[in-house]
Amino acid sequence: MFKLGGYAGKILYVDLSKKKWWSEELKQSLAKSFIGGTGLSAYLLWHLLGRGVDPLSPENLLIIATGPATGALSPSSGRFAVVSKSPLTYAWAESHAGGALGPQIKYAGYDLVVIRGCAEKPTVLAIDDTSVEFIKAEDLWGLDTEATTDEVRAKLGKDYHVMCIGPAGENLIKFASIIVDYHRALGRTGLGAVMGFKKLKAVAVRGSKGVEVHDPDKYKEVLEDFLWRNTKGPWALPAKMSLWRYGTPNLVTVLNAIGRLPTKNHWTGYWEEADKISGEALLRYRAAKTSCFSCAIMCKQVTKVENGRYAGTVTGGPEYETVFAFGSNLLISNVEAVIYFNKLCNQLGLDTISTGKVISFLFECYEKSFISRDIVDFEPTWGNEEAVAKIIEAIAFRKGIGDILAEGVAKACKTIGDGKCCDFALHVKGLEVSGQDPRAQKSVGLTWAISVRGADHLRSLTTVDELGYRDVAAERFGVDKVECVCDRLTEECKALIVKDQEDFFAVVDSVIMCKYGTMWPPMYYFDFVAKLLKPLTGIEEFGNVKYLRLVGERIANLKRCFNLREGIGMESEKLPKRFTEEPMPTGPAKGYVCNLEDMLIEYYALRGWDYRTGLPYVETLNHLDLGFVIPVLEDIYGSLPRRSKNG
Amino acid sequence: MGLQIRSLKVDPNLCTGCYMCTLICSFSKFKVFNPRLSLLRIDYNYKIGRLEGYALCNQCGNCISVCPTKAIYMDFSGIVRIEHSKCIKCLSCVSACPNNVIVVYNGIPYKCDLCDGDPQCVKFCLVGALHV
Repeated sequence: MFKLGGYAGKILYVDLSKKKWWSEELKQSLAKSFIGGTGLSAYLLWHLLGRGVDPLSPENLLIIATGPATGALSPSSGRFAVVSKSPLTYAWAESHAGGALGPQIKYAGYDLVVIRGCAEKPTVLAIDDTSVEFIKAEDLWGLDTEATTDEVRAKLGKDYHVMCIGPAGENLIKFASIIVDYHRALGRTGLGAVMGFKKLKAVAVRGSKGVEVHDPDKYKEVLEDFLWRNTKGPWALPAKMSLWRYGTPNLVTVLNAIGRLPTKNHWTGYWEEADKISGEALLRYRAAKTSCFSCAIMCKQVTKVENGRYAGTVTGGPEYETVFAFGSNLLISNVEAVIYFNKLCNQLGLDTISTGKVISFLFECYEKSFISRDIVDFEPTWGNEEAVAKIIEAIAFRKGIGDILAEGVAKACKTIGDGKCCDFALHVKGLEVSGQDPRAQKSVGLTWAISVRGADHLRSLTTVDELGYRDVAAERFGVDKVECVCDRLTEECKALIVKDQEDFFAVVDSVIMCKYGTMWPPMYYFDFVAKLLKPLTGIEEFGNVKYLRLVGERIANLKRCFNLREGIGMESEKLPKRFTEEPMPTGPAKGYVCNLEDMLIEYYALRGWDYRTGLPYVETLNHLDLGFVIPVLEDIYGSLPRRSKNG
Repeated sequence: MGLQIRSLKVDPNLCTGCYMCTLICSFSKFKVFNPRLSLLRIDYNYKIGRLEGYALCNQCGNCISVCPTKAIYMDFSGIVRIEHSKCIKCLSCVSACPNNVIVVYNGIPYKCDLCDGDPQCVKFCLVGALHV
């Protein structure tokens, strides 16, 4: 039989309840229709997970996914995805991480690992070429992520790469993370709690099989192109001067300059003290410059604090999202404290974005007198480092008010202040908002609203408007659209670019490549992915940009249908009032609000969805070969809308 | 002063652990991406961000003397090569290699030949940690 290049060709199934594992062949037709990674996971989750399954139940699945590019020296391809149903949002859950674990899964001979059931006692899953072992891990339960990783590697061997949870995942904190290779995080949507419920303390992987490609000579040419783009091409120097030099914290200065640095629980987008937490400020603490596996962008770093209150703190990062969440968001200008909170969250296994946002929510509640001083044993005031450290621990161990915050802001605001604080509990679909502001970049509002996992930037954040790349805008959307595309403060044209980016990222997250190189700098687009995938896999259609766009749309639609099946539709596609009704009070974007409605209407039209019901047209689903979702959705919603004959 | 032998060298402080050198090596030699088949090995510690160990062929020539069929020789530029038509797959060279960087693939030993003057690992080392 014709063997596809790039793929391992097998899916590993693990049942934790029965302590059984088996593998099944990856059907070529599925690879062709959904590529891999998040696309293939969407297909499997749709078919293997029943409707309305409790995310914290043995029935929920945890899918660890690679794509055809994983392990094959494609640009920034060391990443992998974990997909599930979220205990935080009850919607589609997806998170990606770098490090070097993803490629090991491929080298062990699997494209995906599908984990179901629930172990009776704490377990470590050890996967290699020939076996899957269920190792008792009662002694590891309670350990932080660093100690867990150390212990697992001491037990199994240094060549194992480890993803694990800390106390937060064990205690089912709804935004618990999974930490990979010590410092990389599958942060969002509470996947750590899914592992915690399954009593799965860690997954350790090593592999020694290789990845073959379909057409090595042609593929070598692609690699030469990749090398050229990263060393000599037009984006090589900008990437080197920012991501390579500073890592993602470089964004602090860039975003403050356009008034989009979330400050004081997203009250405003400009902070006078931003320089103190900038990429430049962090450089002084750099202990090592590192990268993920198979990456030429190399944005990673290990940071160390030598002196003062936080002396001895060593951590990977912090990344921009953490710097905003614990810096400007909480008005903490001591960058050493930010480094420490990053370390603390990673050790405990907490998502830094959600953690920062639940804390800023608490601070605002206190500032506005919705909570009294006596319910907390620390003063929850802006800039109070000591309070932040205490709340982080209280959340991870569900102590006192931490137990309420551990459920995420959407639920916490109903308990704290009797629901009167929900206007500044900033989330979409229950996922706390990330480090952007829709008032200063209108496309962000649409991105947050329509993202299948909630207020999240990584499914469709556009940089062409954020930074005003006129050449890129002209190339992708036509010369006549340049003005409106590049104006980040108008809602016009934003549906167009967000939809385009969402389709592209659906492909990127399935291939799997990093957002750095595909989001910023806009070095790789559909044309490159087509050029890469065809010689890599041998699938003829992958060489066609039009086909890849169709696959991107298919994946984006299927993920949305997953949410629709859970009853999460257009009523969830809204923004907190802060962004639609409170004009930006200070900074370069002063006076702006985000008008979501117009962008949404346009986006729905581009997607082929009915704006009155929020449901996809039957024609749209059929066009995307997603006919299999129609009877399921019709069972829930009655008949699906059809396009009227005249338009 | 004798002949200046060209061989791979590494500056451990510059390595970031991207492993692209090992990937391009196995691909160039065997048309497969597999760090375990690479003719150079690196061991990067992601916890502290440091290259902890590495193994490269320094073209020392230890393998030449143990080869019973004289299949291994040093060419005029100082690169030690295996002439596979003469190789009887006894693998004496593998055990003679002080750095353990002769890799056996499908029963046949392979060693670093600096990719005929254009070492691919050096080319894909964007931080300049590898050089000749």
